[in-house]
Amino acid sequence: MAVRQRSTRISHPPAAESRPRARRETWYSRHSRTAAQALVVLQAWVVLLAVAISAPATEGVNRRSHPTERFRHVAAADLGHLNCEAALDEACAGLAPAQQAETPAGRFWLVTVLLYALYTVIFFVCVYIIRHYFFTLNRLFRTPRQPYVDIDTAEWPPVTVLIPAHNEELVIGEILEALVDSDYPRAKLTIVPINDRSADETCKRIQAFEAEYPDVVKPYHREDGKSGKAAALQDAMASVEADIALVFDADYVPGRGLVKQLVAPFFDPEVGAVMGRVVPHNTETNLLTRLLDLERAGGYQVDQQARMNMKLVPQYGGTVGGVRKRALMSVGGWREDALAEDTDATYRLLLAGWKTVYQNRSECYEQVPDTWEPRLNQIRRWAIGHNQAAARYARRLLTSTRTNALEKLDGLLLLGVYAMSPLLLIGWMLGIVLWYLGEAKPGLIVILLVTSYCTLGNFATFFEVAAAAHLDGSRERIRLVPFISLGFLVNLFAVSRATLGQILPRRRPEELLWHKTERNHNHNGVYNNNNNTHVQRKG
Amino acid sequence: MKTQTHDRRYQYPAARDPALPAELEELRYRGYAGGLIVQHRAMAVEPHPAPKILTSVFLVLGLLAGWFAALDWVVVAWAWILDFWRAVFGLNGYVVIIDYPLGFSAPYLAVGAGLPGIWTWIAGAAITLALFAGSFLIPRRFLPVAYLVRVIAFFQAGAQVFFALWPTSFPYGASGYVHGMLIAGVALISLTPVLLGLIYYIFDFTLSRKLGLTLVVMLHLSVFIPLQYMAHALILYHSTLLFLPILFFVFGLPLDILVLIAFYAWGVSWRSQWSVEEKGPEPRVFQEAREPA
Repeated sequence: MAVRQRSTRISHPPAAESRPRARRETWYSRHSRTAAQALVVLQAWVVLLAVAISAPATEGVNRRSHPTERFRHVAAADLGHLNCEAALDEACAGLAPAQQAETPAGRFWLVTVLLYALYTVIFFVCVYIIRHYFFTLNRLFRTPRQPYVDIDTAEWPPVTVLIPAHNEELVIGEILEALVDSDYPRAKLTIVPINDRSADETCKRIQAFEAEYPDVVKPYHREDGKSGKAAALQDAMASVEADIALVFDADYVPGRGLVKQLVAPFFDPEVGAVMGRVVPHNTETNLLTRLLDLERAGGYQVDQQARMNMKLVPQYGGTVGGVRKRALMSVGGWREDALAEDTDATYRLLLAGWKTVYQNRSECYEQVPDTWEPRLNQIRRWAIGHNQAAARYARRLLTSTRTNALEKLDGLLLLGVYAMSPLLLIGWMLGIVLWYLGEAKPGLIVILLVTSYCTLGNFATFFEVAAAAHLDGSRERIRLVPFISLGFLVNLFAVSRATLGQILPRRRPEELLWHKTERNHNHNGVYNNNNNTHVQRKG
Repeated sequence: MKTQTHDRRYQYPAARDPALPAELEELRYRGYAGGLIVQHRAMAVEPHPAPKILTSVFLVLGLLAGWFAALDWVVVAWAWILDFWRAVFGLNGYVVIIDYPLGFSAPYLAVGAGLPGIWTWIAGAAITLALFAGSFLIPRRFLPVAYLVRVIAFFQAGAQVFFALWPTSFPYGASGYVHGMLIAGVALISLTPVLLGLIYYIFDFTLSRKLGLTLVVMLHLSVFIPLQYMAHALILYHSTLLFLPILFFVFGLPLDILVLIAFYAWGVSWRSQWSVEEKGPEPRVFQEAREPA
């Protein structure tokens, strides 16, 4: 494994484009505005050209007459009585239902069932469209609710920072360096990198920090036990003495003040978990990283903050956040059989009456996948984990006495978010069958219109992402919004496949796979040329 | 000396002190290195929408009124375009305008497109297989493209199966299909001001930008849609109805909607009313950050 090390200290990245920052000049950044202007000019030329070339076709027509007199007009109501050209007969068949042959009873019922199934899918799609739309409106126009972000001076409680790390030699040094530089009182801070059976240089890197900062860095080495982040966290949690445990993924780089920001909400005794905002750092790598940046912006800047504003169910995301140990342990700790231990914890805390807080101001910089393979693994893992949580907690949430009606609704919609992909595919299948059956009524055309844009993503989603980038001040990036359709397409199939894999019987049903997100380089640009994939088997 | 662009809402948040002269007010937001202390994006909000709602409603209504007033001419222009290209490509047929109740009409391009013969069917099957197999040869970094190709292959495979089993039961003809899609196109253009009213007019862009974007989108679609479905008619005329499903499901409305989304994204990327060009020295810390270590 060839690793090039750089001794330079990482400089914490500024917050995207809300502040001026060093940027790599690309063809896109230099020419996007010119290209857009050229497009407008092209529009004008296309119009002029179309008019110009169409004009000769009007030869022989009295130009002074009303333009609609150029072509023969046929009333739709008369089409059934026309006895003219074959093509018009065809139109009669399509446009005048009375002329069609009587529908057999079996076909009638088939069509009726399929239509109502399609209407059901469309109903759910519309529910999510409305949800996206109102979240975005709320985020755009309501002052963000961030009640704890101003707490700067306090008697700070002891805190333990957990960093699960399985073969993270490229990035573990950066997060440890950032954390020991934190402005949290040194006597109250304990950093616990969890060396989870790493086979690379992760252990050595951690030991180097332990030797340099013995009072703060106290690693936890795992040699055996179940694999996966949840199992590692659960094992390490037993050694945590502080009541507040923050959890960071190893590829994240927190700023100096982040620990204080994430601890501050725990002064509120009702708070069980805290989540900060995830900001991709490697956005300029390629199209995928740019799309993931937009997706994250929509998810955090709009979705999570709107939930926080509306006192709904902000999600503890497990990568930039923390939990109150007492609260988590009272609901069973980290579930080792959960692929999305963060979502699982969110719902168990919610059902027990604990609040989860989202802090939009508390940003942490992550390295998003820059190739599709780890992205696919990541989204599949999220889908499976999320669906697990849906199966476990949906009914309990409905009957819970500790949550109000809005929390129930939002919680259920959040749980069902990954079920929408297979549902959309089913909707498409129904639409296709109905289309081949010839049920192209005007109503169905509208349905297909709705379905087609829902499959491309939907306008509410594009609105949400565009609004998030607009609030971030990332104007140029907004132009990439149409490309999100490509990401949706991949997500649609990846999530559907993962969901179907959960529903359909498997050869080894007890086996769950934890796909660790592979990293090719760290924040300082040190590359790894090892392309091995790491799959840990759970159970 | 490089210049930096800043957004006014970050520069002068709502807590501006009116008692201070402008020069001193500005100093409140100057950092130690000469840069601006900007409001964090986590706190950013749009100006309240209330004053915009009324103008947006009037804009939507005005645009809709204008569109419906011009619809007769648009329909005739579409008929002209269809008839012109029909003649250019030598398609046997004609163009009429079908009038519907409530004064709505749409052009009808009468062209024939037959059922696929055995060789056309085999050619279609070969293309489908080639697309599907070829999608696995696409490099992994272009995964979405590979997925898109597989989706196209899937739709075409469905058509291949249908025409192999029930060729005479196919419920659509080329003329009726093109006519239906033109109607859907009219519906889409009619919905454009409403849609943009919901997702674009609420942003703090000037009225001229809102109007401009909407007109550009409607104008583009007004030209694009008849040409698009003329191309569909041409393909169907020469290649039979076997390819109608793929045209409908992939290159029909989804394409039109993608065009709309692209324009929308472009419009949101424009500078809003709050944005002003602020020219000043680039803060030294950012210059240093850019220099190589």
